[in-house]
Amino acid sequence: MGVQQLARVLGRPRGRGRAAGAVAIRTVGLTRVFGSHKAVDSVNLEVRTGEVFGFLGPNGAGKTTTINMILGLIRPTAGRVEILGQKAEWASPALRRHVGSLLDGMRFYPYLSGRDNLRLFAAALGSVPPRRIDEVLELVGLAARATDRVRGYSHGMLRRLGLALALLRDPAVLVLDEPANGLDPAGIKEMRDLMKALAEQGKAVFLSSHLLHEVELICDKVAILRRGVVLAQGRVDELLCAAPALEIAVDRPDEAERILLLEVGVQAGTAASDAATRSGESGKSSSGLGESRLGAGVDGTSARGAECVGETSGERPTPRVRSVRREGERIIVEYEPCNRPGPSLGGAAAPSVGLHGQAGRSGGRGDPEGLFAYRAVASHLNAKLAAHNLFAYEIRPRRAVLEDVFFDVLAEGHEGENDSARAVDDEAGAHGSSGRGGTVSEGERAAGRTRCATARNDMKRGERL
Amino acid sequence: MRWLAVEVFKLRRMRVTWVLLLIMVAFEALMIAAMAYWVETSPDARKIAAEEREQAVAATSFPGSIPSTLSFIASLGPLFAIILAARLAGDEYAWGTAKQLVSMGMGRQAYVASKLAGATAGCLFLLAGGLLGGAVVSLIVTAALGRAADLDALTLSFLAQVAQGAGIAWFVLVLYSALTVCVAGAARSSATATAICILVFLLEGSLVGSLATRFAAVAKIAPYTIGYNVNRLAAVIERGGFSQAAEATQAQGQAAVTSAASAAGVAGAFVVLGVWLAVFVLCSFRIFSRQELGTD
Repeated sequence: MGVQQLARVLGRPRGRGRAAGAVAIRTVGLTRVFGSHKAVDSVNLEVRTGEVFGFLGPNGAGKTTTINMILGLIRPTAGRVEILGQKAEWASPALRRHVGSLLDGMRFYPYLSGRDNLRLFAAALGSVPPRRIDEVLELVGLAARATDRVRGYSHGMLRRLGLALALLRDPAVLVLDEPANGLDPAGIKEMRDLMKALAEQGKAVFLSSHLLHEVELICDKVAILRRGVVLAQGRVDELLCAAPALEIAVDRPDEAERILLLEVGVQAGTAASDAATRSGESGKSSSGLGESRLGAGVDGTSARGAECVGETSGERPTPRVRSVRREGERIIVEYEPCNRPGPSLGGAAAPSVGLHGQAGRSGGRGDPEGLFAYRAVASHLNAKLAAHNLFAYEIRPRRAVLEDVFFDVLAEGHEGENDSARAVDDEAGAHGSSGRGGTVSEGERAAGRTRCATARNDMKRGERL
Repeated sequence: MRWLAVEVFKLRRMRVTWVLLLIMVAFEALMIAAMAYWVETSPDARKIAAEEREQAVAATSFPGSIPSTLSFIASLGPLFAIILAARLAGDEYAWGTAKQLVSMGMGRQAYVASKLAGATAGCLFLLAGGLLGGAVVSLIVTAALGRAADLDALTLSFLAQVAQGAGIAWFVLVLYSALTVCVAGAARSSATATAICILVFLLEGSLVGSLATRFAAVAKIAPYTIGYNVNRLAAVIERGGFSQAAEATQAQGQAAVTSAASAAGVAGAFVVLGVWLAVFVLCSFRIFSRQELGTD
């Protein structure tokens, strides 16, 4: 179902008289303590109408507890919840009539059909016109199975029915706990479209997820929760728009840094052939970079202020390098996207970053320019290092703020496990990372191992956010 | 009324409602058939006085079987009411529907009220179904034994007697249902609520009774227990209503029956059970209004 159709089914733009952008949900110092365990610690959130707000964190981070407090299911130990500008007492139903919720683990009345379940909820909650039931069933793609008993529904179908229930009263605010859980890829796509359409209708959509990829694709704003504490919060495009950069793990990093500072840009215009040739000759790089055919090298006389080359000659330009610096045993090279920003997240003009650097470091999500730019720089740098017999055993895109924090959170969540690298790799695999844009490493597992080893240090940086 | 309609809709669609009703009617059929068989075939039955035998025959024929059916419902019906109420109130926790309703703005008081109303409706359903089933079974037995249904017995006073008995039986069922709704709310589980309430139903009366004979303190509290007072009211049904029970006690001069069926005794039983009912209802509201629903 397309967004236009969704908009038609959803009906008139809502907002219920409120201007778009009004605060729909606000939590102030929301805290919940279970015994000696602080599950949620002074969480401050603000969700506005017309936006999709992602609440991101690993399992056990406190997402559901926060949602339950917003929905009045559990009592906050401290802090308060405001819905549509008014303080919502924890067990008060008045304001929650404007909220549609999708709760995790909702199983419905198993002896009733999907339609009868909605009829029953409509009767219990009141003020639902009968035709609305068929509308929402159609909307979530359950119309054909509406008369089947819920007992026979799959998990994904139950989530769809839950979504239909959340929309039943056409609420101004939607609170959805892991809405994509159990959905097949087509269902996830439909859900994304639906969320966006709902936000366009002026509704506030607050959803939790442990999938960074989903949040990046759907949400305008995001908050990342770790052990009950919000680590980072802001617009997704802001959190993602760190300058594109790559990390190099190399033997003798001091020497490598010196060489890169000296040589980056010296051989402007020759990077393509050099890179292809040398990486092929050295036999130490992955094939990904060697396949990249560059039109120009990294330009400039220093590590800063390099110019793109090849934009006027019709050749594919190579991004200019902005800086080269050391971070521990790694070298970080920031570069610029050659004035070809692609469509950015949330409508912002700034370039955005693909989740795993697979496409769009500079060119926006899904834009191959970002991948080409990354490959060009990576290939060039690898060639420079190889020329000095320095083995770059890993070159990979540097994670943006959002990824950075999230991967750190994940890494910390798995630090007790023996093979913590597996967690990061699994996470990457779950997001469909079809290659990290030309990693010149011995493999993903090694990269994950390295990242997890430094996760604790990175976390400190994340908390400063 | 909206919530009551919702709960009645659920009751109608729940398989357990019909299964329980079927089992209850099966028990009634067994009881009536067994008594009819005994009256017709047992040598012992021939030895009893003609008047008593006539009463026994009447109790197995339509419409004379109705008071015994009501007595059965008041005595054993709570078992069925407990199971039904537990399913109605307790399963909502497991299915997540309770917290879903609350999260979407259904008031907690309204939710408890709907559960109690639903349980009350369930009791009415069991009572009506049980009565109807008992009547049908007795008609079949009457026909099977070649007797004629004594329709002349369907007098106004008899119907009033039946109405009284039905009211008492319903009250008893509602009392145990309210207890079950309360326990299901506290335990958040239909299975736990069923187990606890059935144990209370089976053990409370007999336990207090046996302890009362040994300990004076227990004997003092016995009149305030549920089982003791339910037995009092069941005796009223068996005696054929309040007025007939009172007449019977005067005529027979039996102290125990006097205690059970005298007007004051019956009123006392109603008061005690009414207080228990109020306690269960208030506890149900109090438990749910403070209950956190996020951790089911």
